[in-house]
Amino acid sequence: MILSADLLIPKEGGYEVSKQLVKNKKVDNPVDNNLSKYEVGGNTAKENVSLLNDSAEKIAKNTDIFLRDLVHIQSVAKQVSSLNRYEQITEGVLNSDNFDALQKRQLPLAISKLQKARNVKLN
Amino acid sequence: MDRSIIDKTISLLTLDLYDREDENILELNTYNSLPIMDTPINLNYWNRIQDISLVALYKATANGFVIEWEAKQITATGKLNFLPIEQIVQNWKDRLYFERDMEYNDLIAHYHPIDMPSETISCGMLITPNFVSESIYLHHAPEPETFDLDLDLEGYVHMAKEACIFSNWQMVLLNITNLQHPITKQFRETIPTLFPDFNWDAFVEKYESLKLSNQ
Repeated sequence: MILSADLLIPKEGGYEVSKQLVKNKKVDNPVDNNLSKYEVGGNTAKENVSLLNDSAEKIAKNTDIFLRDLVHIQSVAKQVSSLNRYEQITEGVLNSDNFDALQKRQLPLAISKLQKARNVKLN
Repeated sequence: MDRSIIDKTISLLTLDLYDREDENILELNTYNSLPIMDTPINLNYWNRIQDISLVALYKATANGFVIEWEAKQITATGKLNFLPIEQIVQNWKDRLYFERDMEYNDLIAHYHPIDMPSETISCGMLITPNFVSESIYLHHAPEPETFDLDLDLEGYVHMAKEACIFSNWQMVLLNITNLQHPITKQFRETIPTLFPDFNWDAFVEKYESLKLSNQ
């Protein structure tokens, strides 16, 4: 990189060059190819997960669903015969006596989020 | 195990915000981690804080979580950012406060933020080797003061829900009788446009009913 810099001073509502501070100075600006020298953020890539075949912990790590909700969702999902739609799990939650009114609002929302998540598959 | 009132209140807050998202009023995002499953921090701190309701919440739900929204038609945001327990108990000197602040307010050395909705505003507890405050305190960086909100954690979460976590709602509590304060004014004018069920008088009444000094 070649760098030049002027000192500007105010004059008649604008500025004028007072003196040149640096002229055509060569500045080395090498690119460091070592990835460990860079801050690349703390977020790790999301893994693809299966609702039926992966642990609730693994799914929780890779989604934004509370682990507790996933445990409930998985337990309902595993009781559904021929599971091939998320709506079957929602129906299972709504028809279950194991959940209170708040959970019956909350769990279908979590199921909907799982359905929309690109990295989550049913089986 | 029965869910705590704090846990249920946060769920209700989230569901209310999802309803607003469904109505295309705002965009909602949530983030959370795994719950606390074992002793995650040094025992010294753990022994002091393991009985507080926050730890029960983190064991039941997640070790820190974020709920944030942004209005679609107007400029307005809201955020709840409960930090992971390891961050809460870390030393915040030279991060949130500095040596000179301790000369002005020695309590700040024991201040540990729990909810950090912005870079300048946080709310947390005072934790010393022998004491964990019942009340939640507000810190507005870079000011050295810690303001007592006169709410315990359960009351804080209730008020967060009442305020729909609208930005600076905690500052509104501190200025609840000063209707001309810019933050109170903006809150009162804006929040009903996004949340039509919001009622200022009910909000004030709720705060009064939850104040520790009124128990």
